Amino acid sequence: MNGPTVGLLFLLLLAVGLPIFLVLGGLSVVLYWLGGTPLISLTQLYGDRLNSITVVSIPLFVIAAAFMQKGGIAKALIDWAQVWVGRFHGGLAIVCILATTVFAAISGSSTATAMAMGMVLIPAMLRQGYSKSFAAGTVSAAGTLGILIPPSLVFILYAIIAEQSIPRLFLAGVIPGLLQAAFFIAYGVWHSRRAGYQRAEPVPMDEFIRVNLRAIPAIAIPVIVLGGIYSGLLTVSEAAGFAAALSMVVSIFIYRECKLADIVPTLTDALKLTAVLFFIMIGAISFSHWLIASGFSDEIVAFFDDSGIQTWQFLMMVNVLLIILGTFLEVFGVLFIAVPVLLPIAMALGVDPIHFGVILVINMELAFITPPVGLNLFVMQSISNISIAKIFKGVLPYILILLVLLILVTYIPAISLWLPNLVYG
Amino acid sequence: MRHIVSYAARTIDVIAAMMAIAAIVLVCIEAGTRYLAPRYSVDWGTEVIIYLLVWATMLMAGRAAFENRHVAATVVVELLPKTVQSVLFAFAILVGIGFGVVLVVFGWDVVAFSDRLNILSDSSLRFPKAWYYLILPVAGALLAIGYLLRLWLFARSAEHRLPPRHGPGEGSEP
Repeated sequence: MNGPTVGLLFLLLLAVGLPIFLVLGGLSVVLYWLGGTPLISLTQLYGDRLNSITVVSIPLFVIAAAFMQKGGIAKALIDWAQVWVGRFHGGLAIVCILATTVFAAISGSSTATAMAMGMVLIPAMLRQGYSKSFAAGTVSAAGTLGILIPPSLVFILYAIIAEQSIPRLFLAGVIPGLLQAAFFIAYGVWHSRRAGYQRAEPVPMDEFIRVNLRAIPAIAIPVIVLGGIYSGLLTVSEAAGFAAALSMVVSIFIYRECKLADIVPTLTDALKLTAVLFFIMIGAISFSHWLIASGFSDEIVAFFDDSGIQTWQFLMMVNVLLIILGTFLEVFGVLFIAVPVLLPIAMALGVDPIHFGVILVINMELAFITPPVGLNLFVMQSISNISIAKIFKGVLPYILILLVLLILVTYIPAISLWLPNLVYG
Repeated sequence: MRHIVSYAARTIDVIAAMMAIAAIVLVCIEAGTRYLAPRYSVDWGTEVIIYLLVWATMLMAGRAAFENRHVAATVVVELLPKTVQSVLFAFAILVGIGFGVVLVVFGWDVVAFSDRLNILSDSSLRFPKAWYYLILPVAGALLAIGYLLRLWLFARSAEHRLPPRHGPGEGSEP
């Protein structure tokens, strides 16, 4: 079967709603069989690629996110940010971005972040007179920081497919993540001043100390996880294991919003989500093997090489393509479909794969908040009963900010690469 | 029938959760002993953590299939008439069963091959790799069973002829 036929079949199967792992895995089975490759090599590939300590950091981070979502960590972080910045104009918007940035540094997940933060923050923002659209829009957009601020599940999955260093990718996300948080805060303050939202009263000193002490276990988790990785004391998977263990202990024994009886259901929910990711991952890995083995990957790279396309033009095309894909496919679908095809071309045109990973993740952030499948919008709707139209109105300015960030990150590689190059050379 | 399936699913849940807890504890012990008590450090920790977590995760294959958790692009399908959606859902279930069967048959070949050559792990544990690879046919069987149960519901009543929907955050995206 030639490349264009496979491409068409692929799109057709996606369009008829076949689960993405079946599109990738099922097509791989057919293509291997038609190409005369024994199918045992396909299942052997599945077993061998899963037999990796990097891969098992995924369930550990998902378990950490699942406990954090349920267990009071979000509330402690929000209270902590509130006593520090709540008295400023747009205080709760700043609280939202700050607390989300710290939460993101533990959970690595966008929807877990948006859901945990939104359940506490949206009612608080509405009580202080913030408009529904601004409150839900801010939390939806801030939740996307979960996949850019390290540790990030999307970076881990990208690292596995693209065979790149996870610590380098994590570091590459730091400056774009902080820039995003700063842009969001600036907009939040500007909007709040313009709308005349009230400020919170400063809290008494004893309350200030109490809230800060209560937040210590929550803030300690990202310090231990990221500190462990970058001090060289822990590998990524060990840090993920500590994140899971600490989130479980802190949620159950310190904040006590998760009960002992919740352990098995929370773990199985997390493992179910991981199973979904594993199946897409093995499908994508086998499909990308076929792309390389059949020479189709080389043909695409040669086509772009011969076309005389410049790197900046290619990156613009990539961004447009990913934004379009992101509006119709869920984030991990885009990731697993796009990387095997686009990364070889990007590398042939001289794009650093770490830089490409950051560009991809910012596009994925846009996908989380862009209708019709922007998952964070639906998370907000389900927890706040605010209409999707209102949420979208509130999230639109943040989409524009993310587009500006995307252009900056795409055309100034130093924003992503300066920090990892500084640390690792 | 319903009771048997429910009991089996709960048993698998508990086994998977215990495996995940064991892996988390082992990660902490492995990193802890490396710095605090190196003489108690073992060389097989990483290997066992991988086996436990891969098994725990893949044991959820059946549940994920039955609950229709797998990510799909549904934008186009949702615009189609309900009858067409129903036919496409049945098609997805059948492809899922087929993929599960492929995993069982060729996953078992991997197990048998590894067993025949007596491939052992590199650590001092010398763990037979065939036992690890056994998760391939097991996951394939669970996937096929999950989709078969969905097909059974599909055939039994009209209310199960469209994909079940999930609330955001309990769906397929972390």
